[in-house]
Amino acid sequence: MNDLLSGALILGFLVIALFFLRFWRSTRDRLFAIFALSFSLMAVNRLILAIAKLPEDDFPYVYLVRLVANALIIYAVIDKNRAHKATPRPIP
Amino acid sequence: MGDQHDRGSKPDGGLRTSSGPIPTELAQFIQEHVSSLEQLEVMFLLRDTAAREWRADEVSRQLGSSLMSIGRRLEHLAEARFLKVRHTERGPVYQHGPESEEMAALIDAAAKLYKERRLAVIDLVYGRPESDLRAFSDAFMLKKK
Repeated sequence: MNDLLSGALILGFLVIALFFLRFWRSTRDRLFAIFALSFSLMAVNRLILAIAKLPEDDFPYVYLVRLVANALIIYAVIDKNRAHKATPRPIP
Repeated sequence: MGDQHDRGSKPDGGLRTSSGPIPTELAQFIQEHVSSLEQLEVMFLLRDTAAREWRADEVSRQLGSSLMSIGRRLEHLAEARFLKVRHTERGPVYQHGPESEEMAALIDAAAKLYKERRLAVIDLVYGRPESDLRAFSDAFMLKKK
């Protein structure tokens, strides 16, 4: 990928991650912490690709980091919904 | 997002309001679990009459609020494990019964704060600086509160 685009993507992911980190510090909502982690992973993924100059088509395993990052977002949403889905307790 | 609270510099990091800091744990409890004053009123009514079981229509009459809205509040409080629920032929009946001692203590502390410093509680529920963030976070909930 073009170095300029690569750098812009890394910076973009890092900025988004930092925003979510700040949201987490302000609200202590786990969703934001997981989002921050996910976008950090995306930045790391792009950084590895940029430094190692790996052609993505020949090294499909580099997609694994991205897969984990996206899976984290799905997990965060599931976790958010699960936190509010407690079963009411019956009166004995 | 302008901070409406002066973030306290107290050792416990509590929120500083015009009349002093509110313990962080209590402020977090209110911000996390209370979305309206009606919900607080329902919670405190059942707490003050802990021995009694209430139906939604009775609570609605007592508080002079809409039956549908009160029904939703009671369901939400039961889901959050603040209330116990028993299903009868005439519908569910609710009774104060927090899941843990810690939760009961927080409800007691919130009730005390609401009696003594109502405006501080209203500020916590409606005027919190991170309410926009919470709305954003809650947007990921598939089922609304």
